Amino acid sequence: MIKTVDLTKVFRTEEVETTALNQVSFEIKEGEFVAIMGPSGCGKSTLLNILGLLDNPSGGEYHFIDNEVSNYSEKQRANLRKRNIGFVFQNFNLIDELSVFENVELPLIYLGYSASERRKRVEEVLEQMGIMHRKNHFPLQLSGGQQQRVAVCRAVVARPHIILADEPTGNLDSTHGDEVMNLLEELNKNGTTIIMVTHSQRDASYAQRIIRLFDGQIVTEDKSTEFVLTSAAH
Amino acid sequence: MFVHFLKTTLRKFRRQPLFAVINLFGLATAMAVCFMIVLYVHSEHGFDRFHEQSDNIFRLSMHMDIQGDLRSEAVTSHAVGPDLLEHFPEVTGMTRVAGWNTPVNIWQDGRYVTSSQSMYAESSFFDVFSFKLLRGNPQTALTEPFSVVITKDFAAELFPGENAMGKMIRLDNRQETYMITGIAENCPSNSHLQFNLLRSYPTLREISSANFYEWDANINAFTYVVLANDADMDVLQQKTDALTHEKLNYKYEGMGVHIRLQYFPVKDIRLHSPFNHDMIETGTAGKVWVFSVIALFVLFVAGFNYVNLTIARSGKRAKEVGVRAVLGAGKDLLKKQFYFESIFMTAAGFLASLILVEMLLPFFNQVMQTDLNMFGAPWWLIALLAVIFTGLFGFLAGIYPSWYMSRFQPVKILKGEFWQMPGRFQPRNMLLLIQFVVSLALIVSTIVVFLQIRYFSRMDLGFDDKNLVVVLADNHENAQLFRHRMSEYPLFSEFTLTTSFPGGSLYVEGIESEDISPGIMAQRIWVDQQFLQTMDVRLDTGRFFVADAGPETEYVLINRAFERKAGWADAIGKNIGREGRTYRIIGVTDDFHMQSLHNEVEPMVIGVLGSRRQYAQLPVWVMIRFDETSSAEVLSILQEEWIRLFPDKTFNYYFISELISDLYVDDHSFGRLFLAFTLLAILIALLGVLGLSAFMARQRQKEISIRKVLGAGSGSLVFMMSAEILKWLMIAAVIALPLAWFYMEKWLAGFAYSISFPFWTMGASLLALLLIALLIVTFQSMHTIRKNPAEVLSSE
Ligand SMILES: Nc1ncnc2c1ncn2[C@@H]1O[C@H](COP(=O)(O)OP(=O)(O)O)[C@@H](O)[C@H]1O
Ligand SMILES: [Mg+2]
Repeated sequence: MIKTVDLTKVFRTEEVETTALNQVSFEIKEGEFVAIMGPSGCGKSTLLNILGLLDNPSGGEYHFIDNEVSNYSEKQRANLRKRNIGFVFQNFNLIDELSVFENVELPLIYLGYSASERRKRVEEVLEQMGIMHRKNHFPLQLSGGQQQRVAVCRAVVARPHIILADEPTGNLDSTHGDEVMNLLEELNKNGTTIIMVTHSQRDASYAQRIIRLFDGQIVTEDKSTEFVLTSAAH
Repeated sequence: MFVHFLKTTLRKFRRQPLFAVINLFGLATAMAVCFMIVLYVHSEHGFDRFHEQSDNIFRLSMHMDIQGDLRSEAVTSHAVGPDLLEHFPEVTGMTRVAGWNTPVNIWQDGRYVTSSQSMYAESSFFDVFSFKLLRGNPQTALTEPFSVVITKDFAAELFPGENAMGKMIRLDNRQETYMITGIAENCPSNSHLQFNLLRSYPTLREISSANFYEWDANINAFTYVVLANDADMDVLQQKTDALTHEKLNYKYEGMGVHIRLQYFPVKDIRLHSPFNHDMIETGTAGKVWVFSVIALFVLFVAGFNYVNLTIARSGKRAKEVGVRAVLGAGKDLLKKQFYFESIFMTAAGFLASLILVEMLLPFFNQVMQTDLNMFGAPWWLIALLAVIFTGLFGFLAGIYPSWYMSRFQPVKILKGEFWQMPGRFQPRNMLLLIQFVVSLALIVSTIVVFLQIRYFSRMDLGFDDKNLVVVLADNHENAQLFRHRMSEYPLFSEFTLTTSFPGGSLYVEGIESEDISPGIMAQRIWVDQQFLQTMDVRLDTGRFFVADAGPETEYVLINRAFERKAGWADAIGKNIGREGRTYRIIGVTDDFHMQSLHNEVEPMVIGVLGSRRQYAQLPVWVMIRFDETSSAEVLSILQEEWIRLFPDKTFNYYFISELISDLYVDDHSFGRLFLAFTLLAILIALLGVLGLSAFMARQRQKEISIRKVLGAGSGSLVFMMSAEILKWLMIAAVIALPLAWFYMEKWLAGFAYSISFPFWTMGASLLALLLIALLIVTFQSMHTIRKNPAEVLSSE
């Protein structure tokens, strides 16, 4: 489903040139749950942004569902993106002026769904995530965990094939963090591919596979041993 | 999608109502001002165009060169019009108007109705002009002597609830009775001819001795001609010059007198007529130009401020835009949203401006002496303004964010890098500077204007102008009769007879004396023995006239101004005179102001009424001081008694305090105009400050947070934020204050009595503007400063 070959990203500013990704190659199959880990500044977010079609690589190939997309224009990327990818961010990124319902509805508006179809879908997903009773609240009236739940709703409402999550539990305490991880695990079980950046071993243990980055390069790609350990500890 | 746009826009409005309202208000005010000025300019250009033949109607003007002394008049003699019509085939129609500057009084049902817009009009009046007759036949209404046509409103005033058509009226208590032969629609306000009563031209022949045949006699008729479409103006002018020579100029050959007639387009009278003595103010083109410039300036500055403020605030939306982009909103869609929002807001501003216009127009009309009406404007003009205002501002306010959209990368936006505004944008600062300069200069000027007006109104005039009324009595005998009758009313305390009064017309003569030469131009006034006492004028030296002595016609008094001018230490006993007649000075009065304070008190010679010889040509007025009461009550007594005593004589009166305040009407409206512009300038400048500080707060948000983490207090942060704006204010002060000083000194020099330039106004204006600006900056930056620095820094 996703395949990169020698993916490279270089940031140039006036003074310095940073190689954020250096010849990264890997493959992710449909239905996988992959965690990307590594120290701060090693290029995790950069990789996720490229995978999420938010940014173009400087070099290498990126195959996204049978398309070589590394040279796509923003317009083409936006088109692929809104159909196939859902995003969950560390700081939720909900729009404060819009209610829970309206936030979740947004991707459907951009996909051109009719109002009745939107209502049906949004209510369905809100119901499913157990946050229906909050649908007319505004983000600032919700706890962090609830906000992230809404963000997950928004990510899945258009039924994307892939969900990209950048430290989704980074701003949550462990109880709420587990809640969100359970949601993601649930989605994965239903067939959604999930790629998640995280610092936390605990969160990574939900993944089937961990890609470790160091200084823009992949150091190991392993089946999570921690997974075995933590599930044993459960 | 539209619904979504609308919802988002309204939500945003609700989230920051104060900001939105302030911003909208500023925009709406600017639009309203422009709107009013556009209405004004449109109306000025539309003068006299409602006549069907307006392109072909011309007014004759007379240009005289009398031994090098050039004079131009908008009037000709009565004879010119008919001769032109007879001699020139190009002239297809002609009508004349005369006597428009004499008000007439009509005694009707026990009260006076005064028409101050009466004139004589020739029967062709309704042919040439398109004034409508509601009743009566336009061809014949003005053909017979003693026919009058009155307007609808005047008819309603004269005969409330009745049909005035065919009724008989008497004017000014004269013998003749007039028949009302037509009711005209009220005069449109955009007509240079203003009337509510038209007397037929043949009436003029009956009641006056005016000469209708000589080109150089009675130059007091407005002559209008209709020219054929194909008339060649050059040829016509040559022919007219030739005819003028034949009729008139030949008489004056060798005397250095030459007269030329010219054709002046009627539709240009309002804007371009250079002649005096029109029924309305003319030559307003300069004013129109100035106002157009002001409108453009206001539009430009306010638009800039609005756009500035909107953009600065829209920086807050970085995250929102980023999220939307990530979720799949294309660039075009985001652009559309930005345009939608800004156009929606400016459209709201436009609607608000309509309300403001409706509220402010009466004030504008009062200051500008106009009669503008929002609904009087053609619909296309309003539609055009709506499109320009909404489209222009909406587009401008949306263009920067949309432009930014076209180069955005959602990744960066999410990282908070969205709003990298251009750092030092020079035009922004220049504009703030200009706004400060204009506001400061206007504040100083307005204070000076109002101080000067206050100085006027509190100045000692040398007499008491309250509760003083004068009534015209023609001659001495009638005056005495009227005074005697009035003295029976306890309400009236003092009486005097006089040939002049403050605010009235003056009679000036050259006065000679053995020790002064050449002579002194002095006002001459003849009064009776009660004059000083009634007017409350102080005597400086000597004595006034006394009654027991009989008329002391060989004596006079002078005022201090005369004494000063003559350079006399003691004037008593000196002889002054004119044309061989001499008078002995028996006293000197203190100066009192007969004219406006724009003029200095002029030398004056006061004689006593008694021998008719000296003042035969001057009318005598009865001056009465009454006890504190309403002027309406005084007026009704005076009127009733006047009618009883002199049923066939015109009743003419003035309240002195009204005359005096009339002298300053122009000064007051000047002051009001200044005040209006000042308020506008301040408002706009403050919105400029608001915009700039919002912008700066946004730009320096990170810096502020870091400083705060490092321990900076709010005070020092506010100071940091203010420094930039204060700098521009100071530079503005250096430019504006000397400028205001220079121009106000010049303005004050136009008054004989004026305050000295109050330098404190400079400090005060600067301080006021400074405080308000500081307040705004503080208010604006406190928001940023209060923000949790951790939050700001983590989102960077
Ligand atoms: N827009 C950018 N411009 C310049 N350098 C960048 C930009 N984004 C990221 N980098 C650099 O690339 C490297 C990787 O960053 P990032 O992917 O955000 O790391 P991580 O998410 O693993 O902490 C860092 O050295 C960072 O400074
Ligand atoms: Mg990161």
